[in-house]
Amino acid sequence: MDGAAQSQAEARQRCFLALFSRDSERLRTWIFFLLRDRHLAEDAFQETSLTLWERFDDYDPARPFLAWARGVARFKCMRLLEQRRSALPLLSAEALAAVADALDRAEAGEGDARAEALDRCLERVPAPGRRLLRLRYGEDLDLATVATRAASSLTAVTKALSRLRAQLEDCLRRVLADDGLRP
Amino acid sequence: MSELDWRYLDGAADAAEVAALDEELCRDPAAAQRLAQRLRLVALLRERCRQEPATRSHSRPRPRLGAAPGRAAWRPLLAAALLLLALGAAWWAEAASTPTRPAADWMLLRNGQSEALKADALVAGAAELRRPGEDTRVRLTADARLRLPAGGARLQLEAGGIACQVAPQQGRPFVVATPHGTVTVLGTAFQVVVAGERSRCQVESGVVQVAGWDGIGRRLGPNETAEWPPAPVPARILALRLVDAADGRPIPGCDPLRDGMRIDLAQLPTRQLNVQVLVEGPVAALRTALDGHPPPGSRGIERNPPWMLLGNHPDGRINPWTPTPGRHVLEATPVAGTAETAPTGPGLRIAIEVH
Repeated sequence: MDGAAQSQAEARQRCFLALFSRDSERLRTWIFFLLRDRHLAEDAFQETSLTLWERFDDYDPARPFLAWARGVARFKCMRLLEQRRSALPLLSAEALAAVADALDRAEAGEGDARAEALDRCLERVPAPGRRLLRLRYGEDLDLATVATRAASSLTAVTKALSRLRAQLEDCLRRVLADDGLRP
Repeated sequence: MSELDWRYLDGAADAAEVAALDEELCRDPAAAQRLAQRLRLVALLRERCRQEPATRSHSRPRPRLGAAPGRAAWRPLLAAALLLLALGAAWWAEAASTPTRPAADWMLLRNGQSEALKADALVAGAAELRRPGEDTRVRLTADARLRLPAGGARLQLEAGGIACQVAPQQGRPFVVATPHGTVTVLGTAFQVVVAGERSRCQVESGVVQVAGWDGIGRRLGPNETAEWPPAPVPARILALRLVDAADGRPIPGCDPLRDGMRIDLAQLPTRQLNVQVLVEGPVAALRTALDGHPPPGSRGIERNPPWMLLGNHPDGRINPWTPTPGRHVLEATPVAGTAETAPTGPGLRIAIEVH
């Protein structure tokens, strides 16, 4: 490999790493949304990651990386579902395409504003609520396990999380509107 | 309806609720927009609520909710982590492209001592290797001989066995090469053994992609084993499956075909079909038959993969077949090379009912 080619390859690797590191958690969430099965989703995430790297030359930098990655993941997940039947009811391809389009539109040009707004909203959540959120999303536990860990009932945990999420959604709307951004 | 979003995202929605949500999403763009916003909230919460970022292979820093740091408190951490990320990216790029570099890719642990290994090190005998900065471990058997080329993500097993626990690899696959093939790892636990003239890989968890000396790849899941070169088993037919003649993909629900299976043409995504014969062992040719006769457009002998019972062209095109309603008997038998020769292994005969 000559000097120019080597430096180009290094730049490509750095670019991929930066983009993938930034968006990997959102991609993982998307894949879990598509499959609803933790183990299947983890396999799909790994396969998608590999494909993204292998096909990084196909990526058009003019497009958002996450939108491209979501498209690759959707294809991977459909192939995976063909090979391994899921017992869980899943959304149709048409419904998933509608959500993917909505995500692409919502993310266009937003940057980190929503993440920063969420940080401000999370600061206002009392400690018990933060613990519930940490169990559900930080540790990725299902509702029943969250209830066990929180020494509470499934119904109580479901209602508490529902309230917390409604508060966060409301807070996000207000903070983003205050900052002059689209809620 | 909006509560259905959360029930779906929490994995609590039943089939009727999923159907209702599906219908709403297809009908109402506002519903798709609402669910998209909630998905974004979930993704951000997952990022923000992670307890141990370093163990999850994420480079992005996240404040601990339990410790409740304010924004000002974790911003220096963010800056430090971004710096580390930048340094890591530079290190990684250099590692992938530089033939030799002095930094340690692996730590060797043996007899209670640890030692940083340089690129191209050769490790022999029982030992454990760890990759700094991630939860990847490789244990060598007493007869193992393992070379560690520069870059850290490729191992060359020359003899003996290794058991690997590999952390999820971001971007760059982790590869174990043996004299007979390769194992490309996607984040998993597995064992690779070189024994005489063959190598074997057994997966404990996760997925790997293996390829023999001929480069033909195959994915291995949990508890699956691959061996190269192929074990000297007699040729045999494993199964038949219905495929789409346009692209060779299996038809869901018809992979494999079972004896007596009822197939409703109206339910299939296409009527341009063929039947792929899945084989094991050294198959030179297949004798094929449809309802006791050579299939249409075929002389009843197939000599090349992908072993389509109703034939395929040398350029890869697959003959389309639309079965007529009624009972059909599909047969395939491995033979030495001509339809008249004796079978070289057991065949398979399956009857299907087409409606």
